[in-house]
Amino acid sequence: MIKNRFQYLAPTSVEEAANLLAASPGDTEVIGGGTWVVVEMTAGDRDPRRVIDLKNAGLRYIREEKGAVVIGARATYTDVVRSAAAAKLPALVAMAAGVTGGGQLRNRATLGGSACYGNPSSDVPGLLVGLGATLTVRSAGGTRSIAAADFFTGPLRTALQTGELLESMTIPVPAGMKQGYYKFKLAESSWPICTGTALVGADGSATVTIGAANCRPVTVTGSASDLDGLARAAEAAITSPFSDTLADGEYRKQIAGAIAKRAVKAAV
Amino acid sequence: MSVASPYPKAVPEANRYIGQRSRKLKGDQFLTGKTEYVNDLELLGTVHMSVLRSPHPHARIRNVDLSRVRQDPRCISALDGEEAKQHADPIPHFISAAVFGGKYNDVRVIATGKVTYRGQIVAAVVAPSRGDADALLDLIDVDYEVLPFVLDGDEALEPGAPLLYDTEGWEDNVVIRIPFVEGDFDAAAAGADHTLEDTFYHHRYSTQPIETRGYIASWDPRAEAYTLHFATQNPHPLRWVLSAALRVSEAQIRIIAPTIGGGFGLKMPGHPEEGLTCVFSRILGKPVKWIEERDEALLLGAREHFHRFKVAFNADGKIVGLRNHFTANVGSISACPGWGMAFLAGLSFPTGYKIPATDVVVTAVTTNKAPWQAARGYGKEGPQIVMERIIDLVAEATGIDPAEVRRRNFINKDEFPYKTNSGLNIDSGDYHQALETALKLLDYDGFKAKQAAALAEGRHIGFGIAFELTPESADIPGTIVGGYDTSTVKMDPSGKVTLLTGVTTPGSGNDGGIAQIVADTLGVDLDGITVIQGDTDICPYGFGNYSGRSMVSGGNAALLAARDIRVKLSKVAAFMLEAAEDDLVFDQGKISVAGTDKAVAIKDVANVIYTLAFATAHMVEPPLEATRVYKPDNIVHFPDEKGRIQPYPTYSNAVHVAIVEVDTETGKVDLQRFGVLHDCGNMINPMFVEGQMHGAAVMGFGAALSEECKYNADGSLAADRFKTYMMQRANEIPMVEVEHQVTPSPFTLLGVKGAGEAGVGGAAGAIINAVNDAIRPTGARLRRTPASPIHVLAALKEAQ
Repeated sequence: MIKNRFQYLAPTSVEEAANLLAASPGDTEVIGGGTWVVVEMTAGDRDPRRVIDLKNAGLRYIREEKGAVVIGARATYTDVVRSAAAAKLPALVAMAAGVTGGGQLRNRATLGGSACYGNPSSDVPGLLVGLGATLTVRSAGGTRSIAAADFFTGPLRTALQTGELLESMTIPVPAGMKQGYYKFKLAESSWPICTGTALVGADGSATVTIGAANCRPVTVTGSASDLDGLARAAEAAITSPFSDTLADGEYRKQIAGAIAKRAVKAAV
Repeated sequence: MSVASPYPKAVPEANRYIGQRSRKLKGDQFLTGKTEYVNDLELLGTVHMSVLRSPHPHARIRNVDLSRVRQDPRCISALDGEEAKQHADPIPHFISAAVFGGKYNDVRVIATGKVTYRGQIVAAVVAPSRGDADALLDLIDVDYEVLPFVLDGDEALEPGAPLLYDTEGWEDNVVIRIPFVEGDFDAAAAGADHTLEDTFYHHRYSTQPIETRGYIASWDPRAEAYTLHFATQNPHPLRWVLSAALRVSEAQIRIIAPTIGGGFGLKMPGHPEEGLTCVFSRILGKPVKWIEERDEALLLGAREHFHRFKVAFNADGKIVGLRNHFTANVGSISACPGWGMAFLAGLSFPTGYKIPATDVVVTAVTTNKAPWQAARGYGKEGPQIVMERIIDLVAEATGIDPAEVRRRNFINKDEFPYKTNSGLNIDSGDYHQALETALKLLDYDGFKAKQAAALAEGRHIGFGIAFELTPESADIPGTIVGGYDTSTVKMDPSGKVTLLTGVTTPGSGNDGGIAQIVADTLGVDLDGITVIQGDTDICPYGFGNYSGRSMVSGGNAALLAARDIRVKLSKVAAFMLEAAEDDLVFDQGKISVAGTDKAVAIKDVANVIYTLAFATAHMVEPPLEATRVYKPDNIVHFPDEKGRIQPYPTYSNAVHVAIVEVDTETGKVDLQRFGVLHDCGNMINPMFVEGQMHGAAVMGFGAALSEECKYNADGSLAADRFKTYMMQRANEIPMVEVEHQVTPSPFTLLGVKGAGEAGVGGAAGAIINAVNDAIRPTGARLRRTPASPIHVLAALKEAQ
């Protein structure tokens, strides 16, 4: 039960949302689908005085723009699965379709919300880093862009500054490269424990980003013809393994190599 | 399937309900969301309770300061432990360990003096809404003296371990130590060809009905009586518990259990919130409501045994001796019946195997984890898993096929009733045939070749077998756990039947099953029967729902009551039809004379009995109401010459088979196929039996693979929601392939045995054995549950 009363705001533009946020950023939560913040409010772990819901802010879009796919912060996983533009990014679609929790969750939860939450044990951070995404964030003063690799700064930490909210994510379509996504979970109910996002070039060069295993996603490069080498590199790259209730970092590190290989296999 | 005819002249087979897959009573209401659960009820003037739980696993309560919360306008009432003591006495233990020579500790609706687990209630508030009540908890100031704590059962037994209780008799943390010793194990081991020793850890997990607990207590000051709308499995026993704690007579308490959204043991009595809502309601004269949150439901645990065993066996695979001294970490002491599962775990060894010398000792130890609560299987599931591991270890050591080792050690079908070493008297069965049928279900004979072919490709698949013996329908002497029950059958002047029974349904469909028995006995339509359960002012005295008892006790009691009604109908119908009673056939709402077209409607006979009591119906005593009790045979509470008792009337059995593939890079287990041969004697409704088996098997999958009450090192519960307490989901489980074998119980009227508990331990045991079969080529061995990727990979790494 949400124990304390709060003000609910549903601004009709991203500018208005940013201005509302600027008015009192310290006690305000911004929600996309609300599938994490509301759950934490119910559990008493968050206790905001104001909640800004982006549902009317015009951020529910996915479009192609100059060789890239731009995803609004309010686009849901279902939106991604159904989007013609997103189809250019099979790794993204595979990730979105593989989000469990059922149709209700996919219809409500947003990639943007997951990015802002920054839980290492989730799909979105590793995928955005792996596909070289850029995140556009907005404050009352305007917008700025942050590379995904710089956005996820640690467990539940991002480069979002006080008074900033996520507006969109821009993912370049990797020309001439095959994409693969592989997710490992303990069970259907589980959060992702280790994910792999792979880009494989025509020459066999492979880039794999391991998500969920490290405090920040890590990227390794190698050759699709030397999977064992890639696996060793992936495991070695896990220098600050992430632990939570479901799995400790040691386990995640142990399977990172296998997951790297599977991501490459998913791509080729 | 043939069912022994339970009535003088059977309803023609084609028209019988018994044995049919009749649909669930009021099933359409469940499917369309019209069913009302306790949280749907809104009584006028209801206020809401929330409880403050200890943030420390072990601490002395120096002071509880309610002054800030009481100044808040939202606060209607607030209590700390010392204040609650003025209103309520300790909660009687549902099954007290002291009855069996163990230790006791007072448990109150709010803790006083000390808290012994994180989550124990230290104060409570009432507010106009639940949200307000939750917010008010932040205004309660508790001063604790934090004490050292212990979470591990073995550590709690060590000298110098923190002592949980400083009351009299608690010189250590042992709640009770119970030996089940028969024969001379050391001599058997000395004479055997081989011995092996190993360990097995059966982890802590629980049951999680989708509907959590919920209570609405209403004290009526004018009537000086409570009306309690409680999501409980056991209304009458709970009335006894509450009357003692609340200092009122049982007649001052009416408990009405609405539809229950799953029980599985969680909703058995003894919870402090039951009495606490009553205390507030009496203070305020208003209905007080409390609905359990999921993180509260997840506090209560079950299992967590550490088994250390030694097995003596011969080269032919015959086991001649078993020693198993195991600990059961029962958490903190509560008034709920949880700890009793440790007792029954010991009692259940060595399940369905003939082992001459057994030395089984269970030590129940209290720790600073939250208490146990009853959980489907009620302690019997642990022995299934461990015994089946033992059988496979013997097979591995002797090189004999695991199925064959089972054949060589099973009780034979001509040896029933069979008295086990712990004193159980197993009613009937054909375990050998059950095994053969189960093995065919998943093509055991063809599996070896598939396994070899898979291994050649680097894939590890395994086949697991688990026999399961499920003692059911318990009566535990000296406790309010009864093995008998009561049913009332009434036929009104319009010929409609009302069935009231002390058995309650947690959603399993036993109301429909019992109605099927009554419909057949009276020859009436099933749709014309109204079933009423769960109301202590209306229903006859009964023990409610646990231990697979509904058909055995309530069903047979309803049969007896319906027979009494039938006798009256028969006498009057014979008079009306001018026929001999022996020639009457009851069927489809009519009583007819066999071989003629003479017939009378049952409703007309009923009407005659009510309206012509001094004429046509002069020979019977109106009205058409009968209340009968059924006490099943085979329960023996006078101890035998060895001091053993026999608390179960029936013993259903099953053989579970599972095929898994283990991903050796990640440790992940993929359950690919699962089958079970189940024998619970005669079945009233096979669909309900299968439904129960499906549910229990999936609980077993969760036990074997993913469900785990994980704790943090600071004593807090780490798995406090369904994202971290991982129940199995529909898209990761295979079809549960069920087949039946029918070996009627010779000890119950209808030949039925208990159904509903079987499945948890058997399914888990089959999976654990399958995992071990799959990883055997790597040299690894999994010595614990669950077979989660983390534990399986650890076992694989250890073998490298």
